[in-house]
Amino acid sequence: MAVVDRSARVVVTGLGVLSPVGETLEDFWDSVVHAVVGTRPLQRPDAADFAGRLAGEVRGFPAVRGTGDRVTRLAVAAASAATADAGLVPWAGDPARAGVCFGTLLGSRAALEPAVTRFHRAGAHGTATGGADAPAVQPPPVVGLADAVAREHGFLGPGSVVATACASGNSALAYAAEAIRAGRADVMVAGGAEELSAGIMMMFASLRSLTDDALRPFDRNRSGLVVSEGAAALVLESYEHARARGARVYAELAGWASACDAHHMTAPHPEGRGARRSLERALAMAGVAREQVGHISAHGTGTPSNDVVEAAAVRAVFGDGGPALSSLKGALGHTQGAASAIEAVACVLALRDGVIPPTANLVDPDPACPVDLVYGAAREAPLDVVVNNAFGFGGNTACTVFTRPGLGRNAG
Amino acid sequence: MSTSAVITGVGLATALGAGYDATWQGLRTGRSAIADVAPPGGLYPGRGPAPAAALPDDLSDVSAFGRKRLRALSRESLLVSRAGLLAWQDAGLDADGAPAPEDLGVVLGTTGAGLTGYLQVLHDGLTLGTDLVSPYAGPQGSLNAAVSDLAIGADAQGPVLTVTAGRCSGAEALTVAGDLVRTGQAEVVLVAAVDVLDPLTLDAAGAREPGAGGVPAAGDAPAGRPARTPRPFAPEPTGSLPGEAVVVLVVEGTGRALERGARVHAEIAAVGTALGEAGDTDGAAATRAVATALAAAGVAPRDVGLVCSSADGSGPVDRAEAHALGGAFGAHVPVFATGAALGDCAGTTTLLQVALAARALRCGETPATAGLADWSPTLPRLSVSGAPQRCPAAAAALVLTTDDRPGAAAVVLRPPR
Amino acid sequence: MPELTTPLDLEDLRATIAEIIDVDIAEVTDTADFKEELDVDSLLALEILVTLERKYGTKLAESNLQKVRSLNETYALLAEQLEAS
Repeated sequence: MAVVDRSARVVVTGLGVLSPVGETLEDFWDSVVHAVVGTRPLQRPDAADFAGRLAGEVRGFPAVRGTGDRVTRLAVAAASAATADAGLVPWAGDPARAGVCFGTLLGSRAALEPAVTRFHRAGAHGTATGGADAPAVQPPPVVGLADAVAREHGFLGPGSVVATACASGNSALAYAAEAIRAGRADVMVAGGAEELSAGIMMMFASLRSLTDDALRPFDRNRSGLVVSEGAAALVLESYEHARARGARVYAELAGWASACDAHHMTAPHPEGRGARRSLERALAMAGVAREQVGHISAHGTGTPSNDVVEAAAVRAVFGDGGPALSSLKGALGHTQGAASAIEAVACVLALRDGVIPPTANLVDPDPACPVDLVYGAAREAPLDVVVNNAFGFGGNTACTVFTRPGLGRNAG
Repeated sequence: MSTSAVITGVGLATALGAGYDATWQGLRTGRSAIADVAPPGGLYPGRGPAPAAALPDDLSDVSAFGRKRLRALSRESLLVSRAGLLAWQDAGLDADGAPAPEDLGVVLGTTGAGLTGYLQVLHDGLTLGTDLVSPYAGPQGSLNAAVSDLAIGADAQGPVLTVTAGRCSGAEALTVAGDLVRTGQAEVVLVAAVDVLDPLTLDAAGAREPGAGGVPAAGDAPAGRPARTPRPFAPEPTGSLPGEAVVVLVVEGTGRALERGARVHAEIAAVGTALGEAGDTDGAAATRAVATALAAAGVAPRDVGLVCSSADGSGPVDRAEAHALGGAFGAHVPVFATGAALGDCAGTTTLLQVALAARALRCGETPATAGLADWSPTLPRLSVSGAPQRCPAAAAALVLTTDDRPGAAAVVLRPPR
Repeated sequence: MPELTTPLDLEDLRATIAEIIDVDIAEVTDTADFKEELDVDSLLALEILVTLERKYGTKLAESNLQKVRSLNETYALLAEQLEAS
């Protein structure tokens, strides 16, 4: 047990996603491939201060917060879809050998909002606050997100919630993959989840990051991002475990890495040093050559600074003739802590189908972003290796590398 | 999980003192730092002071790695930056042997980092208007701000992660750091944990008090103590009280530390974590975490010479740990618990325990356990004392942290070789 | 709900800006360039704008960020805004 099997390979055997463009795997993928835009003027009554601002809601998902915690329900729904897709329900193995890791920006903090809002609104109107001197609510444990998924499945293995802001989904995949590689678990459900809330809208509004036009990744006229919600989960297994149970293998999670800009809380490093390092290290771990990479699912937030820095980092790593980039955020908006988990699902489906989805809302590519952008329509291409970029606030960057199952590698 | 990583630097602050030495000396006296604490931040009127263990001082005379513009930083960010510098200096990395920036990782465990900032955003947005929310407050209100500020201060350009798993968050951070060092993704990792008192938790602590408002009930606290002290392992648990702390450990590969001649606090022999089933009342998760960690470390129970328990006067935690520790070690291994002295320090609990257990291992003596009263007749008896206990030449120390998720984490430490 | 607002005063404004950008009050001379001389990045400039909006109870459009370049220019911008309102 103390011996670490460094060669334990990590494969993807199940996928689940709930997004503003689809609440099942195939609906989501169909929308993404056809560049369906899922962001609309916000109508949620619990975000009345932002009525009419663009946002991306998971529309079919049981209404507004209030009865329980929406982000947790989103996570459980995505995880349950993924484990069903993987044929793991019910879990018949050792409960201690299966675990959960989710990434998030704010997690269940939005559950505080109704009570805090009531408290402040009552104060503003000079009405009694029911004798309260503070909002009568306790911060829910953030790890409850992962624990709810674990309880749903009867898993008692490694369980945590991780945060690297908007790179949290990739970080959850990395945490889960390390747990498998180090022999702490056979199966991990990893993903990301975020819910729309007034608080998250306030945070991005205060940074003047929101656009009222549309989220246009890499476009000359990009003007900011649109906040969205969603959840995605991937079932990761050791290759041995997947083979032993005869599971369908979508892809191998062959590489992952994170790095910090160590530069600024909100602005990316001008040369994208964290982004570049994450890319290079994830590719090195995967043991693939640069030219094998056919597609990058870009972070592509549609903010002036991210897209130009990301394009520069990609060019620095791949040079001329690099892989085809697209950003899902044009279609989905920015689902924050869920974003790179949802994008990871798309990476795996791109590998499966040999299809690179187009970047929705991208019309006029910015010459300052000199990379091979896919827009207008999906591009068909046989794919062996796909990379998922994610770069969050605080200069927290994380990349993952997915390969076609059975692809020969020169390392591992 | 097996690791070959060692702790070469410690920086911390607790309610008993600003620094490793001050905290250690405070614990030896058996004193509790619980006192009446005013609600922080001025966000809400609050019900007035509540009993808690607050930092006496936010390491204000320590530089945040020479950073300026500290006003923009949350307390969490400031504390990890300052404790980070203490750990960095303690490890001697300021003199020599610092890794290249890209080989320095940062991992932080927390349950609530950024919560006060998030409440500030809601406060400003709801009372002043959404246009008047401070642009600084938003990013400081997210979970990963503190680790990002630590990275900026320390110029750590390697792997970065914030991990949360209740009171076991620090154990998760150690596990991640161990992976990073073992697989060569980082040479040195700053493993941090921070949680500060927030106005909601403090308000709730006040509300639970007999005669709410933080006024001690008649005959409760001895004279001179402003508030009651939690009573670990007592027959009728009165509950834990909230605390706050910051810890930063410098973790690096054993070989690297030897090569540079670093002073080693302890070797991290193994970390084991476990979740329990709902209704786990007799410590099944804690028992499993202890067994996993001992097995991974290759350490027999008889080699464990001292234990740091996370018992803090909350019934479920104390019960789970008494069963797990009694089962594994019987009644003869010296056990100490800091929860009555330092409060329930949330996501910092495990790393605090690790730092203190490492010190006890080196000194051959545990600190006192504050708040001991009668021992619950329904719990297995452990060797816990209101005074320091000798434990010379212990081959290993065990840290056990329990959380009511329910879940538990155990860390096995070995003395420097 | 607006906060109680403050009348405009150059020395008070100097102190306020020094506090926001966390520098010695003497460094905020009448003409010191925030960006070039006091190392104010765009996030900090935005923080100045929002803090002044709160303090003086006025709305400073984001397009005014360019005018928040020195104490004198900021004072002039505020005077103009407060006059107009």
